[in-house]
Amino acid sequence: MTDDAPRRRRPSTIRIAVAAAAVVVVLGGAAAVVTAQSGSTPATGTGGHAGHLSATPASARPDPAPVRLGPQGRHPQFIVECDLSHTAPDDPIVLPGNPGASHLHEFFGSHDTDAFSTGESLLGTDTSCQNKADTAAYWVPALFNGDERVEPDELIAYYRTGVGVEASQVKAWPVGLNMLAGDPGAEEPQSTGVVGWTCGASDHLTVLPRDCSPRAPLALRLTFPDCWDGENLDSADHRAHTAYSDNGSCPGTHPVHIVQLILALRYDFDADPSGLRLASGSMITGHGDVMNGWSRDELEHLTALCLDRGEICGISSNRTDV
Amino acid sequence: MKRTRTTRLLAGLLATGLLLGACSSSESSTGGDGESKTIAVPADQPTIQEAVNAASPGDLILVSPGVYNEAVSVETNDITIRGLDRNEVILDGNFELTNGIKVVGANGVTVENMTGRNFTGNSFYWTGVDGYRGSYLTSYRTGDYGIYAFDSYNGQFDNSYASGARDAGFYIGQCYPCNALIDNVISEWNGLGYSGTNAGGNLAIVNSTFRFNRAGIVPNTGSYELCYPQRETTMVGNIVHDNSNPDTPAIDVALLAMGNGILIAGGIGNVAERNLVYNHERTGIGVVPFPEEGANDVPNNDDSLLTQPCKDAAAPTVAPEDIDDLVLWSPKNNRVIGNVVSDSGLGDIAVGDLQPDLAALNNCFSDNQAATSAPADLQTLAPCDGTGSGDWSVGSLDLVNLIASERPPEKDWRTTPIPAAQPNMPDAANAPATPARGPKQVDLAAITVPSRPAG
Repeated sequence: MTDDAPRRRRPSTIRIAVAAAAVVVVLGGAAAVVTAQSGSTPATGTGGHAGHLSATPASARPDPAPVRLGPQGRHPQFIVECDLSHTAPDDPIVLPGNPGASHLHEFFGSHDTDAFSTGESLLGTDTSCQNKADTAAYWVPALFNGDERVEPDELIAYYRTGVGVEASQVKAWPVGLNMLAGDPGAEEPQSTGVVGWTCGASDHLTVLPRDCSPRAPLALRLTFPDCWDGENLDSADHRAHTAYSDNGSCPGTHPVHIVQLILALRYDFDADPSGLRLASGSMITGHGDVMNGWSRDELEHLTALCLDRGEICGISSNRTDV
Repeated sequence: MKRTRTTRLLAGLLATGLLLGACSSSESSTGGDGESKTIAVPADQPTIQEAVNAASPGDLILVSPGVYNEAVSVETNDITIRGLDRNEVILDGNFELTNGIKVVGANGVTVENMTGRNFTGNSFYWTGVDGYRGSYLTSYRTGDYGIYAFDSYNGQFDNSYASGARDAGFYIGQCYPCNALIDNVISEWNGLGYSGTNAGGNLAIVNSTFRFNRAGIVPNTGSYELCYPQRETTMVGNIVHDNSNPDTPAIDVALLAMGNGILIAGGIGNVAERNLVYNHERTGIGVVPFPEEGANDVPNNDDSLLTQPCKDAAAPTVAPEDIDDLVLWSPKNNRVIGNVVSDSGLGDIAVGDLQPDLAALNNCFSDNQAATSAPADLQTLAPCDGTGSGDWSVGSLDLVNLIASERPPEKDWRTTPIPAAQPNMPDAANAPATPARGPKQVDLAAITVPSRPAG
């Protein structure tokens, strides 16, 4: 392999002080926290982000409930952990063939991802993921604290069955499937069932980040669609070919149950979150993209081995790098 | 499983090389209904994975010396995968593959007498199984664990060695009652020698050596996995020393636990008895809370749940937004008896918690040879039989020093020491293959405090 460099580590000093920890800082009342209301309509605005269209009315996309990731060990899944690969103003899904035309993105997975990438072109490339067969591309908008970029520490990709979905129905993604979770042009708070901020591995998802601590630093949680129309690898708004299941069922327009990807990004950030913004805009514009360049055999193998058989093939240690 | 005389003979011949190159007969010579067969690698099947794919329950896969760059998945019950030479049959992940052998939902699988190295995840890994055994295994340089069982029951790791794991050399996680045994293993140069998150219930760790890790034996609670709190692990007759090694790989929990020999972190009903423990920067045997940030649940004070099997564990009932940002799992009902402990920086035996009434936690300490303790005179304060007396505030455990002080950063797991050759299993070529049905019986009462090794 070529990327033999040691994985990046968080600062070596563990600063938690039990005395301080005992005085548990209750953050629930933090003014910055806005929790999405149950049943709220997902935001669909384009928000000035070139290339994002809202071809599908909001009513056609039920607002998925937040997925509780943990405690792990209850739901069939396999996971992949990936380091940051590179950072670039590219977006091969929304702005294909236009290098430098996008807002700044943090890329994980294939090291070769650029504005010209396709699922096929990613196959067999080198990757920042622990599983070297995962040559998919994952990307999220860069995060800034004021003018300073906050580098993501790690990406954990949870591959699961959607809530209530019968495991044996779940199909691996086809090579080249493109998907978005969240709306970079959002002007209203998005459902935390799609985009949520949290601290560490907590399932307490909020629309805006709250104060976090060194041992449970800031994290972004993105939940991707788990239903597919079975035909199109992409669509004009990059969403219409996919949908979220509801109570274990996919809509008739998107009848194929596919593996559900939940991305958890950890940031080495535990400071005041009030100055945070995303490259795509305010903190409510959280989103993520995936372009499937997985080894076809390996993704199908893991889907059959773990999800179709209802097995927990791996968990994230929920422990931060140091 | 019944093995035929023919199979045993063939296996023996294979070991001596007499049949190498002509072994296809071994695969086809037996194998009628209900009979097991031996599949030789690479003679019958070129790779271990292909041999596994060709195997039926009861079969023995016999692997010849060589370096195998494979990540093997096992889905078939009751097969045995065995190397003919522990030190020369090597699964090598080349720092690219995730797991050496991963047994997923296949019951009764035994893996023995081989080495796994250079995997970004784990060398040998069972998940979701009933019946497992790993014997005479060597693991080194792994990104997560060395030898690992998760959500698995009725198992045994014995006569094995693990080093250079970022997390733990040996890990049994998320099971209750686990019904498992770790016997006669060596774990060194890992983040943790043993980690047992939410694992216990007839789980014994005996006659083993944990040395030169960041921390030695660390059963702990955490709601990031099911089956919390951790309960009922018995540690007897182990040699635990010098687990303050700053030159190992380590994840954050290993750094947190650094400098402790046996550290029960938020566990309940564990027993540490007749172990030899020495040379630790912090505690020899420490009984402390586990501080969990980003927790998914909170402690439940209903003691009737402490005997609830893992499979019946309910989903958290507390809404995520109602869980404090830091949840403390207090250690309760642990028994520390008859250990020989020395040369510990903060106390040979120690107990601490953030709640002031330590006596109420019902941890006890008796018959230990321990020159120091925290609080002072701990065996008078909290004896395992009778009523304690004294002042808990004298010489109390310095939890801030224990948890909050700085630790040396981790070292790269890919450059940890390469272990010396390890003992082979007896008669690997001919020993019958036996599906793993559960741990052997161990007479815990017969185990005495081990002698201090030379050096």
